[in-house]
Amino acid sequence: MKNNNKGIALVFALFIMLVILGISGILMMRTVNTGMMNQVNSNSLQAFYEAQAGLNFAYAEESRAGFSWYTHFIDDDQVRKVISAAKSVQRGTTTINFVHPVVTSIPGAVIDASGNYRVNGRNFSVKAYPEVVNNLYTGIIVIHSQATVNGITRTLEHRLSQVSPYQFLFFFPDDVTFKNERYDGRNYAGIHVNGNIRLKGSSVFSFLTSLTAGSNEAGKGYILRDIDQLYQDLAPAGQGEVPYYTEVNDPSWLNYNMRTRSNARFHTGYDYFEIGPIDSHEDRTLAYYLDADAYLGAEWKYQKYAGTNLEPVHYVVDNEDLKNLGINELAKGGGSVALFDTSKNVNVPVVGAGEEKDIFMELLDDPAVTQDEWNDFWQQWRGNHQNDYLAYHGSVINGGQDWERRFFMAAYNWPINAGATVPNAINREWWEDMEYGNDRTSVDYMSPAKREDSTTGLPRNQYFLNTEQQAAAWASWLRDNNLNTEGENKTLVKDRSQGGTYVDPGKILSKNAERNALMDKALSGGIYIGKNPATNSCVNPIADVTKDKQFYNSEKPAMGSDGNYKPSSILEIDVAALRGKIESDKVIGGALANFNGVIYVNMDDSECFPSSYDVNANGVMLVNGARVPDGGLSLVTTNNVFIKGDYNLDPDGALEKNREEDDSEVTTRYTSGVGAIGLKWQPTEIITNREVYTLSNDFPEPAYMPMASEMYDQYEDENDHIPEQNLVNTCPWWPSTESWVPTASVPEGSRLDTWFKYYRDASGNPIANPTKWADIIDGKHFSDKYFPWDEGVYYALDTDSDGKKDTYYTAEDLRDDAWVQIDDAYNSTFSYSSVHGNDPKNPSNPTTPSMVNEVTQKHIYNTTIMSPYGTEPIVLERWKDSSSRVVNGAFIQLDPDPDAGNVRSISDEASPRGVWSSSTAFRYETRFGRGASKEDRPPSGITFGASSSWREINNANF
Amino acid sequence: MLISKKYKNSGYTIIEVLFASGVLLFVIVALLDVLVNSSFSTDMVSSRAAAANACQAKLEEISGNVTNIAAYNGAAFNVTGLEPGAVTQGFINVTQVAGTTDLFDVTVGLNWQNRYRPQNRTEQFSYNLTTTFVR
Repeated sequence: MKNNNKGIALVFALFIMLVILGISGILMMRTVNTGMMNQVNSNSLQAFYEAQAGLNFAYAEESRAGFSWYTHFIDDDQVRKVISAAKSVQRGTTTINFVHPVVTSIPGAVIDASGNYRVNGRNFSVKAYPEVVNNLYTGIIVIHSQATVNGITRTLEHRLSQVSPYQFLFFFPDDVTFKNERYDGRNYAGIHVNGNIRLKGSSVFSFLTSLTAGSNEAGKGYILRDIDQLYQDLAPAGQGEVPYYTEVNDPSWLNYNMRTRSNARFHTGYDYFEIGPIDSHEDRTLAYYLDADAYLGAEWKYQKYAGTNLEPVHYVVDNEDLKNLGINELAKGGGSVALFDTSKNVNVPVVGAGEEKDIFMELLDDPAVTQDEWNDFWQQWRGNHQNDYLAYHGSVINGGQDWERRFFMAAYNWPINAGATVPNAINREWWEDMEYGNDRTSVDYMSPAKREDSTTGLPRNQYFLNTEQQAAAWASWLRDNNLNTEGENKTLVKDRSQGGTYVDPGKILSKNAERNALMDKALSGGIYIGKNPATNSCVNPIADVTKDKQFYNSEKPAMGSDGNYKPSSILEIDVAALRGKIESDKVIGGALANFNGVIYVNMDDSECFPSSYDVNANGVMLVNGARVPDGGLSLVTTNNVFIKGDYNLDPDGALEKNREEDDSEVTTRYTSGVGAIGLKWQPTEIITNREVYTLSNDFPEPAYMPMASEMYDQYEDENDHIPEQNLVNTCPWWPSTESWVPTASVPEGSRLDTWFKYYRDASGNPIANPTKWADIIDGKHFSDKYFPWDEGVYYALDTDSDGKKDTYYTAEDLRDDAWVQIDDAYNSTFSYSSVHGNDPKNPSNPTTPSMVNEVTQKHIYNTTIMSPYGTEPIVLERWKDSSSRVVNGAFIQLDPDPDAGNVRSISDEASPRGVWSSSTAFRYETRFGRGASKEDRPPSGITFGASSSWREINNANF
Repeated sequence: MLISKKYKNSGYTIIEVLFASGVLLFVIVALLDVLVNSSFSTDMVSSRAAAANACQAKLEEISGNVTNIAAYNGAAFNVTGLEPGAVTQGFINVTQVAGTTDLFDVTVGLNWQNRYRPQNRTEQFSYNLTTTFVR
């Protein structure tokens, strides 16, 4: 075959040409596509802002119409429909009048043929309708706005409530039980609860502008006295008897929860009101107003019968209870009234006749005594005391047995003398409704929740609080006490029975790191740290003012995959350095010259934060934050937030401005009109779906896992081999050979000392006085060897060797005594100062385990906090009595329900270890003093998060 | 035999090479303008994205300070990155919606120019975002 290569150069050239053409084509296509994408993005952005304009036009229409302007309504089938004719639609007790034709008050605005709101020259279309849930109006107006620009459509939803969660000092998304906290609104802000307000203990609501509650759920949105247990739960079905459980160490078992009362109070500036039932300030007590005779509907009823019982639930005191109380009296001595009476005798043949107490001791010391002989003894004792109460008080007995009264008075050391404040009806129904009697008339019978007179035990025409059941009386009381209006030095109290409504908090923070409005704000004009969702790359534009570090979180530690505690990974942000960087950028036109105040930190991606083995424990720490950037700072993160040291103090630094809680000087200066001092705290907020820790400036950031506050907690850790530390990498608690187990002492003459000297074990051998207490420790409790964890165990000692027992100790008392000694030794041996010295910032041996550091300083954190966790204090340090932590700002709790999307999964979270702290005060106040002039107050307690109450929705939902 | 074969396989002629080179040159010259324009378009797209971000950030700033919205009218703001080595000044127009006292149309925009280097020609660009705020 002839081989001819002529023309190959041309072919080669053509090939090269094709390659070049191909590459060029790809480049052109890429350019065209990028351009098209850019155009689409541009159109999308234009559509977004046009839709936002529609929301604002609709808001203006609502404002002009008194927030009753609608284009649509929800019909009985829950379908949204155009208002085609004027109509009134009632849902529950609320009626809304829908106007037709829909009035528009803005020039150029019209209702188009589809029934939607439009404005000439604009591209948006709007629908507005009142929200209906469970066939009830929620009080929220839903506004949808849709806009289309060059074929790109976007739709926004704004849920308009006349009340915003951001105006409150406290906002709770569900039921709240107020116990003994103090909530000081300083006449600036109030509290709202989307659920029931339960009152338990003695909460004080000082200078609140409002205390409101509402809900869309049946039975919620009211104010009531807290009850933890229902009668039905107390007694077995078929009978009303509840055993009166006693133990030798503590015979006082009365159900506390059933007796819980609330002395919650309102302070309004001029006066205060108690929510009763209480004994003082009678004329201000709500219970007085809940008199069914005076106010229709005041009566609130409880179900006091278990199941179909014909008898009310009541305690039963048996012989074992009497015996336990008798032993208790021997071990601890009788109080103002004793179970045994020296003037009364009994005769039990096996031991003979004599005073009640002597015979009781004889029987106790004889293991051969039979149950029948014990029964004989108690039968005689009952006969001796069948008229005790009548003899002393001369009162009519209301049911039950008088000896039961003797039992209760002995158990609680109530005085038996005439005139003493002893209820006369101690028997069947001890708790609050004991005076109701046996009065069931039907299966569904409910008894009135009456108040009793604590001095006579007799019922009064006053009732406990449940505003759902007592709406009329509640309204009267509010009106008579001016608690139904707003104004200076007034508190508006408005629950659901008075028209209080659900307040929609909007969607603040998405679960984990889903794209959300706050993230967008950080990406556009703010600071975003983490994996950028747009570019998929790790970014930290302020890396020069941040640093990565680790420390052990003693309260909620990180857990590694090996099941051991690990240090938490922390991104530290130096706020002072950040402020300097922003100021510098303003001068040179740098990237942060127009910083919008939002920092979003997303530590959840292991690529950006490789040490994130436990995202639940990671976090962001703000340090040097005494002065934040001008204009404020919003930190948004899906991780924990640690604020170390004072935060957001007044830049002028005057001491009275950086005040403590309730500082009288500041309050006085405001009240006296010297408010012109002008506080300059910046608007700041912490938004997280994890927890916020406030730390002292001296928090040592431990390089070891701090030892637990209680030795048994430490034991639990050791036993589970959770810690990984030098001293505790094995379980050293048993046996007692570990050198670090502290030696405790036995005080001379103490119960323990006596017991060691005189007690003989089952073999008749004395118990050695231990020097290492570990040999009587077995786990959380003490060893069965000496102090069985059984409440029925007691010891009888013959200390004078006369052949008769003369001294009685309960095992629990001895155990408690030993525990005090061990605990003291543990605390002193492993206290922070014992191990590290007194300077937390410069510990002498920083890697040696110890307990947490102690705090004596006072710290102020001026910031709003938004978190799905409650206001319960979380401490990593021992805050001593002289210390304090005050948060000036607001607390808005995000809905903790995982379905709400605010809270991240915490299923793998370690159990709290419990850091004991003598002062866990975590007080919230608004930032402005009582009497501050209106112009001194910020337009909102929160700046940046508020606008995130809109949300984008699927176009099909318009 | 080998020599004879060698002479027979001489495939390239000067004419052939010149023709092939001419074809390649023609194509490259023809595409050069396209490639340059493509590069220019990419720059333009990048600039428009930066402009959009800047305008959006400014609108967000205004939305957080609506009570002082009137003060933004006529205010300028600086943006870098649109023009190489230069600072671009943006504009803000705030106008009250006719017949209202609480509605304000706000337009935030940027005008800038990109230089077309081979021919040293410049092209003007603009970007703006408009919305309405209620005070």
